[in-house]
Parts: sequence; C-alpha cells; structure tokens
Amino acid sequence: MVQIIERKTWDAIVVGSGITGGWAAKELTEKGLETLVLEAGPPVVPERDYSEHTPPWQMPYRGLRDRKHQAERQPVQSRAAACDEWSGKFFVDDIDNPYSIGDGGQEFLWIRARIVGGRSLLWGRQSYRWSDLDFGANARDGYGTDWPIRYRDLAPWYDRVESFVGIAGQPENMPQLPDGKFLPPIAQSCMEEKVREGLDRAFGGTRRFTPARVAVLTKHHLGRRACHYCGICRRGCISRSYFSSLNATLPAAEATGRLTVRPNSVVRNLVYDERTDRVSGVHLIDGESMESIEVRGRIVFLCASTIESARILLNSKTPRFAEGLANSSGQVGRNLMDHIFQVGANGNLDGLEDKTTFGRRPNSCYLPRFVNLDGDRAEATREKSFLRGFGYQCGARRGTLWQGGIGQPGFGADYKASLRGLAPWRLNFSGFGENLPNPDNRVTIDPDLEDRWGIPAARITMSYGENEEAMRESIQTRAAEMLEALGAKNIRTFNRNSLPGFAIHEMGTARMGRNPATSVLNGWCQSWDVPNLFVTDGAAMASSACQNPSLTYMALTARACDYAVRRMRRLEL
Amino acid sequence: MASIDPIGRRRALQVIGGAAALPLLPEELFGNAHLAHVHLHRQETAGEPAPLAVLSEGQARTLDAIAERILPATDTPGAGDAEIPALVDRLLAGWLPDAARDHLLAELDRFDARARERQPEAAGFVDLAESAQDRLLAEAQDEALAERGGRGFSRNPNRLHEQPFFDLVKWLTLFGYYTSEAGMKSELGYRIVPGRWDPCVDLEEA
Repeated sequence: MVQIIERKTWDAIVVGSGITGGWAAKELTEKGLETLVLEAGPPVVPERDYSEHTPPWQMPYRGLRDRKHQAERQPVQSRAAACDEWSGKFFVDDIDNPYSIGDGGQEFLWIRARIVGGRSLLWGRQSYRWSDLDFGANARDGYGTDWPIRYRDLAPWYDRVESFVGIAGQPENMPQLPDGKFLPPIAQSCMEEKVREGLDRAFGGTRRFTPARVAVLTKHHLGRRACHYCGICRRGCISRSYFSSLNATLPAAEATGRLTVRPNSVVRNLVYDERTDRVSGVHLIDGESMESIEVRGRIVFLCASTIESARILLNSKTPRFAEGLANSSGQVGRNLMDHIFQVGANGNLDGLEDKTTFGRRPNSCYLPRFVNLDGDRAEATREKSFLRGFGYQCGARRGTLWQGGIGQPGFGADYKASLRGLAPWRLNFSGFGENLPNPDNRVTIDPDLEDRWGIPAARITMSYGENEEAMRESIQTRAAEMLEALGAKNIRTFNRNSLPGFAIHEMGTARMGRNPATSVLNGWCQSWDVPNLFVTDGAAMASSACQNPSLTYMALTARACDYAVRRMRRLEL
Repeated sequence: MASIDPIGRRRALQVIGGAAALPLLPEELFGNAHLAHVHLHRQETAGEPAPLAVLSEGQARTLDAIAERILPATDTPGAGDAEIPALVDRLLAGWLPDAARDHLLAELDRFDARARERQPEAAGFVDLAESAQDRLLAEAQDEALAERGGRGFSRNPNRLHEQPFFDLVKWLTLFGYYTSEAGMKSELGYRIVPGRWDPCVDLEEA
C-alpha cells in the first residue's frame, strides 16, 4: 500500500519520458503548467553514457557483445540489433521486467528502454506523415473502428512538430506520403540516383525512390548541431544532431523552469477519485528504495509506451472500473499492432565500380506505398490477395570485402591485398507492412507474474494473420520485380517472418474512436471515461499504416496538450 | 502514512545532463576528426596492457605470430599490431563457451608441438623461419579444408569448438585485425568522425 503521499499537487503528471513524454513535457511546461515527468529508469548523462565515438578497439569484445551477460539478463532485448555492446545498457533487464505470452499467441518481442529519454535514444529516426489513405483505412474496409480525425486535423501539428524536431527530407508531392517542413535532404549516392531514374522510367513515377526522411539535422537548428556523419546514432549523439527527448524536448521543457523529472519512478497504477470522477494522481514504486509513493496532479498524460500504458490502466482497477481504468469499452489492451518487416529482396547492380560514398549517413532511402491506393488510383493499384499496404526502406551500398574473408582460402600478403576494397553495389528493399487491427491481439495482466517492483506483469497474446502473410509474399515479389527492371544480378528474396513486436512499432492498445462504446479515447487522445486522463503514445492509434509511427505520435501529443490546456483554462477538466 | 515535500528536494541532480552542455563543443571540433576523437570517446584504454587471464605467455606469442603470418605487415600494419592475443584472452575469459575455449587452447599447444617436431631446437611456432611458418600454416589450412568437407565456417559461439584450428584462428585474426585501431585506420581508412557526407567519391579518395 501507499507509504508516502507527496503534498504538492502538480498541474500535470506525465508518465514516461520517451518520444511522447518528452513532447508532453515541452508543450505543457511551455503553456505554463508545473509538470512532473515520471520515468521508470535511471538518468542518462550524455557526456558519460553516449558512446558513438568509442571505436570497436576500445570495447572489451570489439562489438561481439557481452554474450554471457545478455544470455542471462537480456535474452529478449539482445534480439534487437541496437542492443549491442555499446547500447545494451540502455535496454531493460529481462529478468527484472518479465512478461508472458498468452495461449495461442506467437512469441512477442517486447523491446524496451527504461531510461530518461526512453526509446527516443534508440529509435530509427525515420519520420513520415500519415495521410487520409491511412486515417480513412478502417472506415474503408471495416477492420478496426474509424479514426475520429483526418489528415487536415493533424497537418498543423505535423508542421509544429517537424519545425522543432528538424527532419531531413525531400518533397515528392505524393498524396500517400504528404511532404513536411523539411531541412535539406541527405543526398542519395550516385548509384541511388540511377536507381531513382530507373524506377521512374520503368514504373511511370509510381514507385518513387526518395532519400529517407529522418529526424537528423542537416544544418544547425534551434541550438543543435548539424550531423557529423559518424553513423551510429543509436549509441547517442553528443552534438544533439538527432532528435530525442534527451537531446531536444526535455531541455526545452527544463528551460521553462516548470519541469521536474523524477527518474527511477516505476508507475504501478493511476489513482482514481470516485467523488470527482477524475484521476487524482499516480502511485509509483521508487525503483531504488522500493518505497511506495503517491504523487498528485490535475491532469495525467500517459506516455509510457503502448504496452506499458495498457498495463498501467489494467492495473488501475477501481470499483467503477473493475476491468481497468478508462476501460468501460473493454478495449484497453486490445487491437495490439506492429509492422511486419524483415522481408524483401536485394541484388547487385553493375556500374560505378570506381565510385563510393564518404561518411556514414544516418539514413538510407525510402520507397512509399504504391499498392491499394485510394481515390482515382484505387482501381489501378488494387491488390487481390490483401488489404492495406507496405513501403520499403531501401538503399544501395558497397560492403567491405574483408567481411567475406573467412570464406576465401589463403593467407599472407596476397590474401590480405585481395580483401582490400569494396564489394559491388548491392541494392536492398526491406518492406514494412501494415498490420490489421484485431481485438484478439491484446495485452492483459498475468495473475501469476510480477516484476521486480511487485507490479503485476503484462501478458501479450498476438499473432499475425492471413492478410499479413499474403502481404509478405507481395513485398518480396514487388521488390524482385523492381530489381529485375533495373537489371540487377544475383537477385535474392528474403522473408525472416519477423515476430510480432520486433519492428518495435507496437501500437493500438487504447484506441481513439468516435464512439465511447467501442473506443478508449476521443479524437483528442482524451479518455472517454475519465476527462483529465490523456493517452498520447502508440496506444492511441486506431490503425497501424505502414509508415514509421513516431512522428504521428508526436503530432498527436502536441495536439492533445493544446486541447488539454485550453480545457483546463476553461475549468472544464 | 507519511506526508512529505515534493520530489524536487532530493533530485537536484542533473537529470537532463544534456541541457547545460550544449555550448560545450566548439564549432570547429567536428571539422577535425582527430580532435573530436580525442575529445569525445570516453573509454580510453591507455596504460599498461592488462595481464593475460587465460593464455600463457607462450600461447600468446604463438597466436600473435600466426596472426601476423595470416595478415602480415605490407604497406599497412599487420595483424601483429592488432593486439590479437589480448582480444582472444578476453574472449577466452568471458565470451567463448567452455568447449570452444578448451578446443582453442589444446590446439594452440598442439600446433607448437608440431613446430617442435619440424625443428627440435625451436620452443614453438615463433622460432621457425617465416617460410617454415608458412609451410606449417599451409598444412593446417589443407587439413581444415579436408576436415570441413564442403561446409563453411560457422560463427555461432556454440559451434566454434567444431571448427578446425586453422579456420578458428583465421576468423579471430580477421575479426581482430579489422576491428583494431591499426586495421581500421590504416587498412580500412576508418575515421571516427568523418565530418561530412559525400554521396559520390572516387574509390581512391575513400
């Protein structure tokens, strides 16, 4: 039970300091609210903890990772590429942070970072707007429930977020991938320019090979420095060139003088006051002292990440909300989605043998969705075997020869000379596909499992279905046909059947909607049931689209903050 | 149930370490890769080399000599400058499964024994002339090829004890050299902070 109740009542409490918690902190403090941010994990100090300039030869295992430690403490986290010898410390300890898999579900990989800044320190930084092809998808085919908003509602908030974040990107004037407020793009390699021209020619401009839009600065921006192309963003960024809470939004919030960040604050549940029908605060366990503490606030923003936010709501049972707070619809925890990926094709391209690139860019290229489009393109782009669509993260690069050296016989000076230089250009298309909302894919509470802080753990039950299966086939076929059109050689398709969760784009467990009976949140990310409660992380999403979702989470958060503060000022919360 | 003051009291610590440090990096720093390198990386391993935890001095010398014959110094440094024994010693102490560790250590000793068979006055592989070293390695390579049949090398830690000695040492040498300061900087032209992105340069330039 709660041991300590802190006396102060905060204007706002934000649960989580990741990409949405950071935005909530910035927007709410800038609008004058005394804001407390609760973060489950420890602080990160860039000067101490970032390691992007620590070369392999200064690491004990030269990048082979602390294998035994990971096998013992991070068997799930270490499946993620970013959880390497440098950045493994940013990921959770799987033994302290257990979860279980529900009957009939596939293995689910829940990749987490409980640190100040959360997964914004580790994200892929790809930043794409969604369009009405996405916001109208549920209404069009009947899966899930209709989004309560359309692109026009979010467009100004994309503008606002992008203007602060700094997105390198190239306008393409494609309705399915709206242009944004871009900094100069990171130029495509000479081979990629040829690929762009070749695809435009072969497919009449319908398959556009564009520089990936990334939250990395190509020029100085709001006190943060331009990228210096060291190339390993996930280990940190001492020049603050890539966007993270720690690099940008939390410092902006702190500059207002109204921000308090409380690290090592593991949220157990939200506290609900039956008399006022409002959330009155948050019950947390101090991660170090294990004290049980209640903090009080006038509004609460839940930004703990999709599965964690659902877990907190489901762990916040009250007499009125016996199935979990804000859950009169029964939809909390349901409709969990991720993106299918690790599927596509690649091949070698002849030419430009005497050319390469200099520097290590923080992005590559992107090929926006071209199937199942809407409007007057609907007929021409319709796929018979699946609904919705996919895009590709892609690029052409030359590998080093030494990496294949173990397969080459020999040793000595000639052998060493033969490993010098670069392999031919290889073009890779890696698909990211939309996942249909399905109420049976869900997060519940495991009655028999608790984490290190005694908090009941999540049980995740999720499987991909026939639509995703059919899409995986098409992703490979379509990639291979582009490679063929470009005259690529040694074309290989791949499908590693990525497990749910592994794209780390999980979303949907507290969906927005138009009807309180079938959705958890209204069009402002506000709980239908509890008006001073907002959920603005991936949980709010009503469908998954195929674009990377973080930019949309940020725009939704900024929009929800504006709405919440306006309502507060009118004394309506 | 105690009631106390808000949290701020105990958290004077710089939670957002980044904020105060923004102006800390001079503009020109990133124009100079060397300076940035010196300034930025935090895990300087300068000082005395750590004592060996698993390898004997003799085994370390043998390993160093084999590595240098596999990737010798040419117009760039060889694997003898890549601190391969120190790396392998760390892998033996904390990374390799027991079976792979036992396999590697036993085979290293066996390899030295074979060197002594060729040249009884030699203490081990290091005392052979380079040409004799290369002959012994060529034999080991042939044996590895025969032992493997058509199979390729497996990097899976749990399969490393099944890999022929020559292949195992060759893999450790390749990995160790191309992740060493000598190998990355001289042979691969690696710069920690390139400072710019150029989408099209001549191969020579890179």
